[in-house]
Amino acid sequence: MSLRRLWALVAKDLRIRARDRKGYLLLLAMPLVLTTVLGFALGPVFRGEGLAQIPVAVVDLDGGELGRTLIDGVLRGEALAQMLQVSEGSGASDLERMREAVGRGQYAALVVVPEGFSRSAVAGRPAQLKVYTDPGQSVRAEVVRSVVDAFAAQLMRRQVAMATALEMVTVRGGLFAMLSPTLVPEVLQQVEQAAGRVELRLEKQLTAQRSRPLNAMDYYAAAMAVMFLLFSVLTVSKTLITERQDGTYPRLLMTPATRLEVLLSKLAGSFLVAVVQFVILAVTTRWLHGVVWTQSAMGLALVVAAAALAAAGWGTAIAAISRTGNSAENLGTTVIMVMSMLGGSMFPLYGMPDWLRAVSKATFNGWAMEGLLRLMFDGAGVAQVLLPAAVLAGMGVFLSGAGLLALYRR
Amino acid sequence: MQKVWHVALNHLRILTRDRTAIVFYLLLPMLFTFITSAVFGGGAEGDGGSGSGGAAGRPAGYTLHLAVEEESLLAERVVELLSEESALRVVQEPREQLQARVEAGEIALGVVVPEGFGEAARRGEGKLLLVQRPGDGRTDPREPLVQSVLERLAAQVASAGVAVATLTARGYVDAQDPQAVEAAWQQAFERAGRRVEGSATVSVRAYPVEGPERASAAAASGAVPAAAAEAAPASAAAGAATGGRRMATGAEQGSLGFSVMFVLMGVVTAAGSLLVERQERTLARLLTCPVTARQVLGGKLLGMFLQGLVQMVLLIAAGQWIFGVDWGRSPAALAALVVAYVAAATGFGILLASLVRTEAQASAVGTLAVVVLAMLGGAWWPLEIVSRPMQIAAKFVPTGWAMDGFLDIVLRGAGLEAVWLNVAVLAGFALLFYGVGVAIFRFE
Repeated sequence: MSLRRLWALVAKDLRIRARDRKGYLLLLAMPLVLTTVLGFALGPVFRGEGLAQIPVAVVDLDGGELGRTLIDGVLRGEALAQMLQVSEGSGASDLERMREAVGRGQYAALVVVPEGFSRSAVAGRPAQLKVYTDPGQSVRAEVVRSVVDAFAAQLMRRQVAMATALEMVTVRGGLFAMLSPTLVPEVLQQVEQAAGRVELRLEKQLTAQRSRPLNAMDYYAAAMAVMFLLFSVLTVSKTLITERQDGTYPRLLMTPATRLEVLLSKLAGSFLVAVVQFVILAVTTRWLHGVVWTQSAMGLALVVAAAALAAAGWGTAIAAISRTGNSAENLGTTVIMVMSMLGGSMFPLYGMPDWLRAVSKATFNGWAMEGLLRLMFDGAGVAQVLLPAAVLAGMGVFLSGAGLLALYRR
Repeated sequence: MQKVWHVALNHLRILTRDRTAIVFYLLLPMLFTFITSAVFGGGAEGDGGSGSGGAAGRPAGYTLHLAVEEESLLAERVVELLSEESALRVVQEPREQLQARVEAGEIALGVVVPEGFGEAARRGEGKLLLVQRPGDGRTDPREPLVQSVLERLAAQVASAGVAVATLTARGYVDAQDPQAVEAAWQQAFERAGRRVEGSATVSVRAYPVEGPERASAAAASGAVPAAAAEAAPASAAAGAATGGRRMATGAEQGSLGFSVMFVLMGVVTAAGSLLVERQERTLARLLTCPVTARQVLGGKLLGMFLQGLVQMVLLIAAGQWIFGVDWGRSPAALAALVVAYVAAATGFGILLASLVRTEAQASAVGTLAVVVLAMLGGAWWPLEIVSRPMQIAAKFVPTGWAMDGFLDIVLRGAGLEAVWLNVAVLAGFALLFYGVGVAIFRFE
């Protein structure tokens, strides 16, 4: 085996890559454009402000005190000012108009305080607030509903307390106990004394800020770089097959190059293309969107090298089980898309079901993202990325070994 | 015209022999839909469930990370109430892990049910902890959901307290016997819980505004406001028996979105194959037959259109019968929208093919364009969660109008009266794309 010949073979493939204009578009422009779109589109979601300015309509047919409290005190209240954008209508005609508008998606929800609501609620009779929701914006509508729910729960408390106490008295003392003339006044008194006393709060507890908050642009810069590493190695490993088809391979073997050298050159070529691509993407996204890739250059180098090796392994393995260049491309694209979806390149796996996070550990994307995200957001150094790097390297060695063996025997 | 048909049918014949096309255009979108519905909740089981049914049809809502530090009746109840919130997906994990992840920025917030919560709550002063990073001052949409759960729990606890006080005062329970008091408290707590959940005296009812019934119910109710308000439940119940709640599921988002995206992908790829035929001179040779260039191009376009139509129909069928997405609520509107969208997609394909020189360029530019159009149009995620500029951007792409129309039909149960504008705009896109595309397409 001669390193010089190996390099000559690699250089040949790299020259071909470098001349491929479609390749630039696919392997550089596409991840950049996708990162930009994903970063901008999902930025608010990542910052947790996805649902700001929810358009809500309200119609107060009641005019009583409780209805006004709900509208002016709660929905338009200070606590929700950023989240809700309240438009108030009045009367039956506005109700119809606004309900139609909810059906068209103009408002996420319409809150209706029915006529006589305050009177009924104060008197302890059934009173119902109505929330008309747009099924097309169900997440937003659900937030509005929960706000109204909380308000109703406060009103409801006294009534439930009263009813529960009376019910318990019949359960323990039988129906006969209900006949006691002092029962209702006594329960009422208890309700007055005790019902308002329970206060359950949601207390904010701030953590120390250890590292940067997650943001969509950085996340997807990593996610797309990882996904397109696979696409780029595929363009090289595909030639393992196409060169057989078009006769380049047998002709290469007539040169002093050995079979092993030709195969290894593809692996080395894939690896180099992947590294170069990653570096270009990293530099460009840093410059374009200010993506902060790492505080540890060594750690990043380690993860990228391991990821490039693993990607080259996947490429080789896919080539090994495909018969034509086309089928390698198709199989490859399918495998890449599925691994990307399951491995966190399409959406973050935070808070996803455990099975999904387990499955992601079987994918290239899962481990590569793990390493990159630790570097990006946890301020990780070399020590913290050793595990993902080791798994990726192992994945690369195993897959490329198995793939090369199969190809060598062909 | 017959010649045009032949060219079109030939296109379809070639396609049916292409196994990879079947994988890409049909199986891949179905696989994606399957994954989204597995991850974000499916539609099939969820449709029949009531609002309190909870876990079955979980929506594409927000994940709530929850750490429960004590085993108590109240802690269990907190978990139960949160899990029943259909906009929340509750994930439990240890408190240290939750705090570490919030601190690391992996998750935006988490809720802790601290040790002693149950005891404190029964004294009237319990608190849950909302773990957040400093600087995340904005109100998170999960916060009011948790607040609302706490309100209901407080009502339940207070009621149990009042009931026990009444029972002891009247001598039904011996105040000196802690066990008896505890038993009474638990019983009262459980009964109060049912009242809090059930149709309590002050309640909120949500009506999804959907279905053409909405229009007729509104018309029937006339001028009487109370009647108008009361007429709606019936229509809502007819629209979807969901106990007043209607959350979009992962299956719905996936089935709609990936159908829209992959149909576009399919015709754009087919348009690219036009360029292969140009490169291989098949097109030039076709012209030696007794057909005109116009007929060949017309036939190709018709073939692509039919291909998109078949693909869309098959994907809709898969959505309907495999993933339980209710596509068939307004067949007329659906048909109009599908035809208009496929026409616009085909137009986009021919426009693209006329702008590039080789098939390689077409596939590279095409893939990028399709994925970006799909993202902008809301095929990958509901547009309600993206920023305002992105929502506006959706109005400038055919995928956006298609998604909006399909959402109208599938989720809002609307008919032609609601989607005619979408159909018209898509037809406009189609005319524009065809006009420009056909005008500048070159055969050589």
